[in-house]
Amino acid sequence: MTKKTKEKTSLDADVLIIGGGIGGLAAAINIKELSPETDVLLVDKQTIGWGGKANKGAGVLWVLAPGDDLDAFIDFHVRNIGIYLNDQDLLYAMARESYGAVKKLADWGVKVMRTPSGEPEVVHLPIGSSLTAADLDMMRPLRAKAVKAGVRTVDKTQVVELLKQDGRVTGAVGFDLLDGHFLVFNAKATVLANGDCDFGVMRMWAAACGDGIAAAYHAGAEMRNAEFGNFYDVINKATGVPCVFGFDFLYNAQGENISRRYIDGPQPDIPLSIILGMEKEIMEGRGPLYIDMGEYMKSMEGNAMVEWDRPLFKAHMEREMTKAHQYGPPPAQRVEVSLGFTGELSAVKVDRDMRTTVPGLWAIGDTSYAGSAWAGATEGPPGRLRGSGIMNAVLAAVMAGPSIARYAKEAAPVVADKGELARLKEAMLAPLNRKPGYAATEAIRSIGDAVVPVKYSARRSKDRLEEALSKIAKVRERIPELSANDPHGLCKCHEASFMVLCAEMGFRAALARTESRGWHYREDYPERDDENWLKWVIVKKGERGMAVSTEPVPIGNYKIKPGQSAATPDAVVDHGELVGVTPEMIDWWWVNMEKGYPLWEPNDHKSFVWEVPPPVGGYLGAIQIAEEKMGPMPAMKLRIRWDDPKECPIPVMYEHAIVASGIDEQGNVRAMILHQWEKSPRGSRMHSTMRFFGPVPPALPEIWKAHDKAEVSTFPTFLPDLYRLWQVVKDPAINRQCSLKVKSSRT
Amino acid sequence: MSAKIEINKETCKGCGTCVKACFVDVMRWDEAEKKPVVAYEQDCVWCFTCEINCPVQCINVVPDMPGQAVAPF
Repeated sequence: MTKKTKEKTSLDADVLIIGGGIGGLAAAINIKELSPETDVLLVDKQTIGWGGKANKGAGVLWVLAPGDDLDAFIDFHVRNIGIYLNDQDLLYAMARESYGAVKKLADWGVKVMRTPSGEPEVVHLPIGSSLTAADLDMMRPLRAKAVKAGVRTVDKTQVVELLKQDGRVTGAVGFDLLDGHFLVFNAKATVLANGDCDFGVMRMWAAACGDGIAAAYHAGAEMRNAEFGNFYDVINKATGVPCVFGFDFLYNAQGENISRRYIDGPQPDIPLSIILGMEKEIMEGRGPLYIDMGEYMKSMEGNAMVEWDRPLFKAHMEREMTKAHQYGPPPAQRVEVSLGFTGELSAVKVDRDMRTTVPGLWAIGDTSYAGSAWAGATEGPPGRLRGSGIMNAVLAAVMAGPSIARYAKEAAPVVADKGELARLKEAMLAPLNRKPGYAATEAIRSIGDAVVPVKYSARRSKDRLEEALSKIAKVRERIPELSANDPHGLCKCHEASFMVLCAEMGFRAALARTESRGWHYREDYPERDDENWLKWVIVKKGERGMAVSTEPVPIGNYKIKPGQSAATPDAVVDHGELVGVTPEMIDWWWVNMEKGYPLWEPNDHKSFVWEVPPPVGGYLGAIQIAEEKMGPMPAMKLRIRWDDPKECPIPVMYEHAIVASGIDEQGNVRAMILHQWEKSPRGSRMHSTMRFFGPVPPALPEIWKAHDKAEVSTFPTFLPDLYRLWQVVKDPAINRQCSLKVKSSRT
Repeated sequence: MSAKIEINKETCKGCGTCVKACFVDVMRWDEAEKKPVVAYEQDCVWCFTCEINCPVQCINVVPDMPGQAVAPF
């Protein structure tokens, strides 16, 4: 028996919520609002109101706000992020309820950004949804609200295992982190809200050790989408701080922009291709890799995430920067980057009420982000949808509330079995009684060696996954040797055992999925396989070890199915008459753009350079790198080639025309613009058409139209003057001349 | 990943905010002195939450950079 601990204490409640982060607090308040007489107990490993993950990031909230296009967002998400593995009904429900949930947070005392009229202040994104934000002290008003509503709270307590009777979960057991005494929680309904598994790698996510996932697994609950627990972000190598949305500004040691090499067009968030690309650059000797801080910071200019009035968020940003200057490498234009593995394994399978497959047990927030399947083939959070971590937690809490409150009313009271409790207590506290042996820190470090490398978690293959599993098996075999001196160390021992279980689960699910999809890439199965893999991988505790199976996605019941055409219609802008601008001036402009690029669109245009200048007397084959901002999207460097209108699929009506093809590193055309113009009574008339190849964010056509209108409308204000000034330069290599007339006059 | 944490016990008012703020159980409360104590410095992830929220700014966290323990490549 134990030698360092006091006798057990028992706490009973109708509802036990494990984890006092934003999800647990929201669930507690929500249940009390629905059913004030229900006795709710909220337990956290650290201090409720301060712990959890919601207050460790940027505090942004994803939301579908008035003015957003729900159907367009769902269509974009299913086709480009979830890749048909979404529970589309739950995705709809989450999106539809999100605005109400943000308002609920505000009602509960969280300072959400607001307009002067009191509505949530949002920024609309091109993918059809919006972002708003809260400051990083968001948990403290929630704790106060919960306590006021009668929720009982227990801090500094680690819950290790769930109690089960007659096939139903009836509470949990844990220990006090301060003095190590054993604690029993008897409850009618139990809610896991204690986060996902981040494997103790990244600083700010050190609290997410998979406690709830392991507890659910041991209680017999099914897991889903565990293969999507392999998230990496680009980080500042010295500080470990993620460069969120920095993936567009990456360079190798030779100064080559590698973002353009590995990323196809605008992305809603970091794509897996850049993770694989960064590894390739390093492996082929072109490292170290850098982020251009000038470009990155410029792209963040005017970004609401930075601009919103959030004193605590700003204090954190400033403190991080000050410390980096004090104790890190000197500030530089190019800062070395690496990949920060966070994992974010969040696989507890739940239904639309957040019920697990075991009666009496719910899982919300990061515990079941991927397991609920609304986000599909993506790790979560952020799930390639920034702000969805906090919102998933709040939404899941709100959705789970009614079924939890009802169950807690109807279920029979429970009394734990004394023999079972004695067994659990002995097993839980065992590391305290072992002679110093295997240290938890060593185990966690070895788990890191298996999950962090890109070759195991991103560039997967059968051989490498098996290699990673054998590394994990070595740690698992030594878990019974873990020893601890005190409750703090005991907590680390249990965290190591949760992490080793989560790592195995992730690798086994990845081994089962013999295709590539979303954030799961198999080098030995590089293609998406809709014929065989519109399925979820399910993992659960088997007779001997983990049992892996599959479950078909009910795609026939869903609105969005693969194979349907998702072609985006052409975007068309009629510019009308450009007074004082002759067709010859416009011809001249396309081959002399470096002479006035910022004048063309003074707000959005950032820089311009010819990668291939126009040939003397001609224009075909010229390639420009134009850095510009379009609407709410961050500034991007576009690679645009002048192509021949005669080979363009869009019909040419006017006399003069040019084709601007947006191309990737390999020269593949991603989008094409046909500009056409001709003489009119007072100058020229002009018309532009953009055609998209492949999927694009649904709002992009409208964003481009506004941008194109803004550009062309400035022609009358600067082009006649600029054209006239340059007439004194006669060298055709400097002042280029070219006729873009492709048709004879129609008049 | 660790840090050195300096607390100026002269200016510390003993409010306990830093102990609550620590989400990795590095800071503990010394009942006898009624002051915080750095109990598990090796586990500090330099989130700076204790330092930022200290009402008398008596904490200095010195991060041990770089913050990455296992290389991804």
